[in-house]
Amino acid sequence: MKAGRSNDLVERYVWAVARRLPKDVGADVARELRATIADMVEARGGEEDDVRQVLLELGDPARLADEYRAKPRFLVGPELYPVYVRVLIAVLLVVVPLVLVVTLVAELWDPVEGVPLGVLAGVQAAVQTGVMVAFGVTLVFAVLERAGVTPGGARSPRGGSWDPDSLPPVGEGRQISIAGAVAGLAFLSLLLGWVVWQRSHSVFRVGGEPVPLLDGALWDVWVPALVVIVIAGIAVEVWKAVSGVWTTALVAANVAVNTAFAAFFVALLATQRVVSPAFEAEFEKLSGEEFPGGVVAFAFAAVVVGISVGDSVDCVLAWRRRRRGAALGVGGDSTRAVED
Amino acid sequence: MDGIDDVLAGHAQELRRGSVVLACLGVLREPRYGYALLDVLREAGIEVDGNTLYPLLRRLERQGLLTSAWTTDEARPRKYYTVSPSGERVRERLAAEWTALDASIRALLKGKGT
Repeated sequence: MKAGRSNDLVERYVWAVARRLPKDVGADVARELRATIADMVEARGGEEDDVRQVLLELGDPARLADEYRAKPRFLVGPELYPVYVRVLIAVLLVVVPLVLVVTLVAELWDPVEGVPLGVLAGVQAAVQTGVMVAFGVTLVFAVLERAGVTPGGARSPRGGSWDPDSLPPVGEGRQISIAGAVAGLAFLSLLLGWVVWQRSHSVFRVGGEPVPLLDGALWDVWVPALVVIVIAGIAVEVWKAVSGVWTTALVAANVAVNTAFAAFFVALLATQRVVSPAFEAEFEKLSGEEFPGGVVAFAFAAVVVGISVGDSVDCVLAWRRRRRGAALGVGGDSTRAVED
Repeated sequence: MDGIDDVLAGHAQELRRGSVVLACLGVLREPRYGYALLDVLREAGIEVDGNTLYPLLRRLERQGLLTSAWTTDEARPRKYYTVSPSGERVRERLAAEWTALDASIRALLKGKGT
C-alpha cells in the first residue's frame, strides 16, 4: 500500500461508513475498519488493485453502516404492509376524484383563463394532491412502524408485551371501518385544501382580483396552528384505519385532537376577525344586508364543538364496550366450540 | 434447475446464519481481531462474509457476550475480542442446543417412512 490513491480510497470508504453512525461508535468503527481493510489487503498481496477488491468485498458503505446500526432497512414492515396498501388505495380513490371534481367545477364555473387551461389546472391539482397524500400516508405509516404499532391494537414484541385479553370478541372484528376513517381523512384534506384555495378564489372579485373570505392577518399564527391540528387529525384517522379497534392510546389521541379542534375554533371565533372586511363589504353591496358574522361564527363554533364532543363520547363508549366485552369473554360461540 | 438451486442456497444460508454466533463464541476463547477470526472460521469451513462478521462482533460485544481491547504494540492498532464470562455461559447453552437439535434432526431424517 504505497500508492496514495489507494489510501485515499480506503479513507473515503471508512468515512462513508463512519459518518452514518453515532459519533462515538463511528470513531471506533473507523479505527477498526482501517486495520481490518489493511489486514485484508495484505492477505491478498498488498497490490494496488487489491484495495479495490477488498472494498468491493465489504460492499456498499451505506449497507455496512446499516449492519453496524442494526436498524430496520424499510419504511413499512410486513406487519403493517397490508393495511398500508389498503389505506393508501382507499385514500387515493376518495381524495383524488374529489379534488378533481371540486377543482374542475370551481375552474369551469369561472373560467378566467379558458376551458382547456381550467381542465389542466384541475388535473394538475388532483395529481399534486395524490402525490402529497401518498407521501403523507407513507410518512405516517413509517412513524407507526417505528413506534411499534401493529394492526389490532396489539404491540409487537419490541414495543412491549401483548395481552391475549386484548383480542377482540369473536364476530365483533373491527370497531372502526376503514371507510369512516377515510371519510375523516377526506374531510380534513379538503378543509386544508380549501383554506389555501380560498386565498386565490372567491365568489367576489374587485378589479379582477378575488376577495378572500378569510382575513389575511390569520395567516401569521392561526392558519399555521390549524395546519398542525389538521395534520395531527390526519395521523389519528390513519391510526384508526390501521388499528380498527379503540385502544386506550388511540382514544386518548382522538380525544386530544377533538379537544384541540374545538378549543381552536372557539378561541378563533371569539377573539379574531375571521372574515375579511373586503369580503363583508362585497357581501353588503350585493345583498344590501350586513354580513351576519356573529350568527355564522356562533353556528360554526356550535357545530365544531358538537361534533368534537359527540365523537369523543362515542369513542370512549366504544372503548368501554370493548374492554367489558373482553373481560366478560363475550363471543357466544366459544363454549359451543369446546363442547363439540 | 436454476430455480431449485436458488431455493436451496436461500435455505442453506438460513441454516448457517445462527451457527456463526456459536462458532465465534467458540473461537474467541483466545483473543483475536476481526480478520484473524474470519481466517480461522474460513479454515474451519465456515464461510462468512466480512461485512456480516465485523458488525456481528460489535453486536455481541454490546450484548455483553464479548469483551474487547485495543493493542497498540503491533504495526497497526487492532481491536481484539474475547469471550466474556456471560459469553461462555451462553456458549455452553447454545452448544447444548446445537447437539440436541442435531440429534432431533438425525432421528427425524432416519425415521422417514415410518
